[in-house]
Amino acid sequence: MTTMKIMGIDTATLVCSVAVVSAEKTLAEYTQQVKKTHSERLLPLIDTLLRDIGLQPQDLSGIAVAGGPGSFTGLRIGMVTAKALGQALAIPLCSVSTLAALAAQHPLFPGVICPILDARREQVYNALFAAGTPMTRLTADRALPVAELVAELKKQTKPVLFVGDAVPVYRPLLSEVLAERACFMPPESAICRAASVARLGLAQFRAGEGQSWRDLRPSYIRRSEAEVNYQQAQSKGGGSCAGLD
Amino acid sequence: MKKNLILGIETSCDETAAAVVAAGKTVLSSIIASQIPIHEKYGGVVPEIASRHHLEMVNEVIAEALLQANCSFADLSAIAVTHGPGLVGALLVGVNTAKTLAYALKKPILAVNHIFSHIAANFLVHEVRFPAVCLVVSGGHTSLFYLTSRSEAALLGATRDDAAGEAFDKVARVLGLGYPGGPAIEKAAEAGDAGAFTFPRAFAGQDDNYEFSFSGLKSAVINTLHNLKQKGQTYRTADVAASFQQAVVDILVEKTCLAAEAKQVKTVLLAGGVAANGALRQQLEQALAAAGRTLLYPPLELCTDNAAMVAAAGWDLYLQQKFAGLDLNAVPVLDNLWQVK
Ligand SMILES: [Zn+2]
Repeated sequence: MTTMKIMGIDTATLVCSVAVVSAEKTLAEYTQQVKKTHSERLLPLIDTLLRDIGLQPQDLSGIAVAGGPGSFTGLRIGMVTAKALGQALAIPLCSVSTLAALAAQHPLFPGVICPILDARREQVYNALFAAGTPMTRLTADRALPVAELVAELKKQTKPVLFVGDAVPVYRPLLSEVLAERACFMPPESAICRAASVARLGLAQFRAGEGQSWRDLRPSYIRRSEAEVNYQQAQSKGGGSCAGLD
Repeated sequence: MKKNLILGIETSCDETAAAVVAAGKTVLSSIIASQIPIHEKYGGVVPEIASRHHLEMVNEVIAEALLQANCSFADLSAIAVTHGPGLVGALLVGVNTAKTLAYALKKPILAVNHIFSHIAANFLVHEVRFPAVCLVVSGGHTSLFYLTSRSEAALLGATRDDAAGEAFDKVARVLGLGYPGGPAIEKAAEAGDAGAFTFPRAFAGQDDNYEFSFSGLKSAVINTLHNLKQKGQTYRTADVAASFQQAVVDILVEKTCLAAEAKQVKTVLLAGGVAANGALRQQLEQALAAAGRTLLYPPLELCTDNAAMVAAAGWDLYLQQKFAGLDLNAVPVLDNLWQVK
């Protein structure tokens, strides 16, 4: 058997990242953060990357995609692309937590790794991890108010490493509350990278956790606003949903 | 290998659909996963919910379309997809699925305009003689086109505000008839008096004007009901539905006949979801027949959103080798019927 070649895709945030990894190395990783939609960028980027490393799509053994949390539209672009590749090429797929892929870039950090993605309305998508290979997950992926996360982090004494696209937004607050316990990375080490997604995917495939295109689903964490509003209206006894959309 | 098979994919609104059509004419399969029951309780299509369901269904629907057509991916000549107009998040699911499949399978990508695909539904069932005039009426569009071939169309006029189908949905909501409004109003109108109320017909009697407007009509219905309620007067829902429907049909018939006369065409096509309306079909057919013209329309299942019409429209792009690139994007507002990147 030739070595496994896994493609990673991450479009959960404004970063558009594609990579191919094997057990031994990262063959290539292209990461862009420019003002163009994922829909326009992702497939050309995949095409360029595969050409550059001399591979055909059918040479891939599997595809790992950042399956959330993240921007709903962004997640869907990555997910439909992975699903269509899986369907056309008949290869296995797997969904990797966007937050786990962010945290896994820092296996040696001596403390708590805390990826935060902007979930708007003063909330972040977050999970906590303890470093190591493999790292230990301390919480489930969740959406919570920043204030709540900060309160939680204040209760313990370890240093906390913040990564993810919400860092620039909340850095002053985090530094103020946690003082020297708040640690930050340069931008290129704090963004979503597809090689990390592919590396975690490789482990999942080896553990027999590959899925078919039929079963692959994003993990939005949040319901759509319309569903939330509808449920609130129902529980208040009102049946009206006029003007919801 | 089988020849000239186009896979069509449609996700512009609330139907996830895929179809395999041979040579732009023979429908080998047409699979539609409707989301209508999902959006019903919200009284209209919720974009985020629609996008989520498209993502869950699109690959299933494609697999089923291939299965029923008894063909494989390798048999396809090209993949056609609706890239606009429509709900952007919903369109993105179809567009990215289609172009990724095409990329992995090394097939051309055909970017189809949704409005034009509604027109092309007619090509699946009729040998259309050109030139022709086509009225496209749906939840999103109300437009008149002058067609000189299967792939050449000029816009004569369109709605300035709401689409006819949108007006049906809104009035049905006000009357408590449910969603989608078109079939609900038509059914209620059967037992009603179309002359009970006089609602406005925008731009009526204006020669050389092929524009429509339905927002005033919708407001007139709402105001009428409001006034009746204020005065404590009762009314029959059936009468309101019938009078409203008649106002819509009247103006659609008038403008379409005007265009057919001005362009001196023998054939008129009807397309889009509202083309399923029996009153519109019947009255337009009669009015055109009086002037010696023929009205053609697709069967009901090809009037509402489906992917067979996408594959049919894609066929003409395929013949002209108008292929889209890997950077094809969804376009929520798409005025030019032939816009291919
Ligand atoms: Zn339509």
